[in-house]
Amino acid sequence: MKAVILLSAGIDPVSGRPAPVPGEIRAIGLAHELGVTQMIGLHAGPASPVLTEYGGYGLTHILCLKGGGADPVQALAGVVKTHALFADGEPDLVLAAARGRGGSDTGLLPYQLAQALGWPIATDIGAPMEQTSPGQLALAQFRARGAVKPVSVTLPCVVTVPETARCVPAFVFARQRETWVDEEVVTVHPVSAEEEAGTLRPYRRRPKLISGASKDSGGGQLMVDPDPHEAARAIVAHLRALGVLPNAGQAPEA
Amino acid sequence: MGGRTGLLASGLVWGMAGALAASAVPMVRRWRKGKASPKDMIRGLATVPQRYLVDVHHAVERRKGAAPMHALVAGGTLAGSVALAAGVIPALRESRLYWGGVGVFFVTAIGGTYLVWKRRNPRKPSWLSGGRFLWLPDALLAWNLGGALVALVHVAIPEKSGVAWVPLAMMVGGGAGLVVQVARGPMRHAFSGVTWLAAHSRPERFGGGRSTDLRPLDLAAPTLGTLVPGDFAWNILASFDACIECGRCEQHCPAFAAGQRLNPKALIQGLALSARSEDVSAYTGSPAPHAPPTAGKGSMTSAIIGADAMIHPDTLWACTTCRSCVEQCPMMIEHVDAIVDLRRGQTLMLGEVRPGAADALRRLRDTGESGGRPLSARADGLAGENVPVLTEEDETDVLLWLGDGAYELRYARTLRALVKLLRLAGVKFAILGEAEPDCGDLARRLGDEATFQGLATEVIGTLNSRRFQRIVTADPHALNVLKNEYPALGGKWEVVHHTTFLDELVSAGRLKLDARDLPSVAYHDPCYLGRYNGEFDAPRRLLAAACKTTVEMERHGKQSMCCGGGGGNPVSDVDAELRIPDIRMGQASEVGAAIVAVGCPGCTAMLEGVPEPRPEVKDIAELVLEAVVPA
Repeated sequence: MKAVILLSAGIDPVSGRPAPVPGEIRAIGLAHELGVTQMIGLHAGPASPVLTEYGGYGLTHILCLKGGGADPVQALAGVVKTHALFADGEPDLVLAAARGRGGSDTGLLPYQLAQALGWPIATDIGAPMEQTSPGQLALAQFRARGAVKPVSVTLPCVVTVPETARCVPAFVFARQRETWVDEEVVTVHPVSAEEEAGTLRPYRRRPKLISGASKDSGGGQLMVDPDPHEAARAIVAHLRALGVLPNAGQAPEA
Repeated sequence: MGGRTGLLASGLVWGMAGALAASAVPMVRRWRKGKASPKDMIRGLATVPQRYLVDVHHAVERRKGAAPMHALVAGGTLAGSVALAAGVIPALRESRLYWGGVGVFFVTAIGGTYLVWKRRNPRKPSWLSGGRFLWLPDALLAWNLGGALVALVHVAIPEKSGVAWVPLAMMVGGGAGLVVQVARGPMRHAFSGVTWLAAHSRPERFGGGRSTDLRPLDLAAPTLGTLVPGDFAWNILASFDACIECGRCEQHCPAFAAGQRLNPKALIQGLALSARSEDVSAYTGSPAPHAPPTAGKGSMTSAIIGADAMIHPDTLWACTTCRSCVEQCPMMIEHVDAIVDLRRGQTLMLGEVRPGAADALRRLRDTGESGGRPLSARADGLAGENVPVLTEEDETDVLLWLGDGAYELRYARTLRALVKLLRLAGVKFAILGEAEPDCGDLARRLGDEATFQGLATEVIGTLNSRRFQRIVTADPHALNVLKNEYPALGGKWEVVHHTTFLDELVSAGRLKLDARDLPSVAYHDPCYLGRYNGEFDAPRRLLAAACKTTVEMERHGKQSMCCGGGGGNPVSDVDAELRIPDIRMGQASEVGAAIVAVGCPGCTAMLEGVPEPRPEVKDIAELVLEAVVPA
């Protein structure tokens, strides 16, 4: 497999010094655990010395897109789609930190990039799971309070890695000093004022999962070895009772 | 008429000398596979007698009986053999006086041989090795008794010197044994030891000198640190062969005492065996306690560290770099340098550090502080003292380097006492505030020379932009780095420990002390102040001026035992049977100390972490402040 690791210009929140982003370090480790054979780091922005530190974690080739900082999504998507990053074909995976540590990083970038590429996204992936079907990736999604949920995603895809993942690769100075940081000038179309402002749509009431749950809904019902259809109906009924799903007969919201 | 046996005996010595010289050839060839390190061997060899008789002897005589044994056996055997070799001169062989002299030397050597035998009999002490050592007295006895009898025959019955065939045959047997001992056994230390003394990597240590600073590493070199024996310099390889397995290092090693996976003697022997491509089974001393087994194989070009190599990685990380082994070693071997070289290889080339150490190193790289704490919080413990921060525009007499102990509430108490004392003495001082990052001590001891040099460059840049007379620090680890290790990187200032500085203030009358009637106080020498920087007296003078009753622990001064806090040991998740500070506090209790006086944030934290009941732990600055009287 071939993977692109997205790198941001991270700042350590305590010291304010440039430093690698924990999620991005773990993204390199996850790529290794997934059996990625070729890896390249991609940074939308000019080259900076701190990027070589990712080399110490095993990412020894990094491409910086100078001028791409104006619209990173456009710059990155362009390079991933059209640029011959790897000699033998397109990347299978784009890995990013679930959370950046640059001053104006929003955390939306991986989603926007997935949208621009037309790829699915799997978020907060902390570890690989046993792979069962080719063309699919079975992954462990790390959720709040230590819960782990198995997810499956079709390749190629975007994967984000949280800081809680344990796949921290060893730091090797000998690799860092061999790191090859390339800089390439890219031109991106300036973002129009309309796009910058985002899209307008009518207000949609958010489902009140928590408040619904607090109303005594009986805690559901225990079903032992049920018929799948029966089970599905019970789940739907339970979600309706919680107010998560619209009531039967009511038209789904647009 | 000297007879043929006399000439044959002389010829035998010459033959043996030839065999010994030939046995040295493969040894020298092997050392030459190490890295080049040009040494002036002529001058070096000229210094050997003095280095041997003064420096080596000082270490040897610390163990009771070792010096007489060595003097008798080595002196007697050598003198007897050399004298016998002179027997090729026919005129000498005619003289009974000559044979009498030869006999006296060999009889002396027999006395020494008895002492050699006695070391391992009736029972071999745990710190000594067995194997070829076990029949060494037999070979020595055969050679020396044979020599003595040949001489006796020529003195008593020169006309029947043919009888000397029997002792001559004994000498042949003993001589063959000794050649095996030199070529393939522990007696190789005679040749390799002389070579190592002549080509020592720290010649400054001889004649009572000191050299403890780690040497900077060229970060552009293809191999950083040591991975295979061939990465060591040739003279270091010779130093491993010089190890005579006396076990003094083992007896003094705090990690070994606590059942951590390090035995300095087994380590040096492991390195020597690797370089000689021998199997670990050739080592007959005690192993590193609880160290998981390794393949126990090696060669000049294969990895030293690893479960499939010679030495288990846990051994490396158990070292506290206290230099106790180095201090004890009669062959003046540099164990700590070897360990740091190996750590450099593991850290810089392979990234193989313990998880806790990896976290600390990452924080040092990314935040400039081993705990990832904000640099601005370092002086929080001094907030009430209103200590000025030295900017580029200001000037001060004393720059107080706080160190990473300052983040702890306990050690901040020590620093507050120190600040109060400086105020009382009217010293003009300041701190760096948030411009003070970590000095890089931890990174360097863990073998991460890249991070160390990064931090050192930053610190040197900061300090060179400030105006001050000298630096005072209460942290001996920072003292060692700032004073001894930064000069090689371009940072030279006068740096003193707070006890040295306070001692000066007291001697100059700027602080007046009234010795208090406290229960007995024992001073614990920090390794990095004592063994590393030779400061043993100032803290003791201060203590004597501040407290009426002081006692010494059995291990004090140069022989002091480490608290367990150095060398990155606390962040390296070291497996142990006991805790080193528990052992140390036990030693304090044994001499009836109610207070242990310390002068290091590491020692404070380690020793105060010992569960009660235990002596109270107080920094010397605190004890001095309590004893100070208004001038």
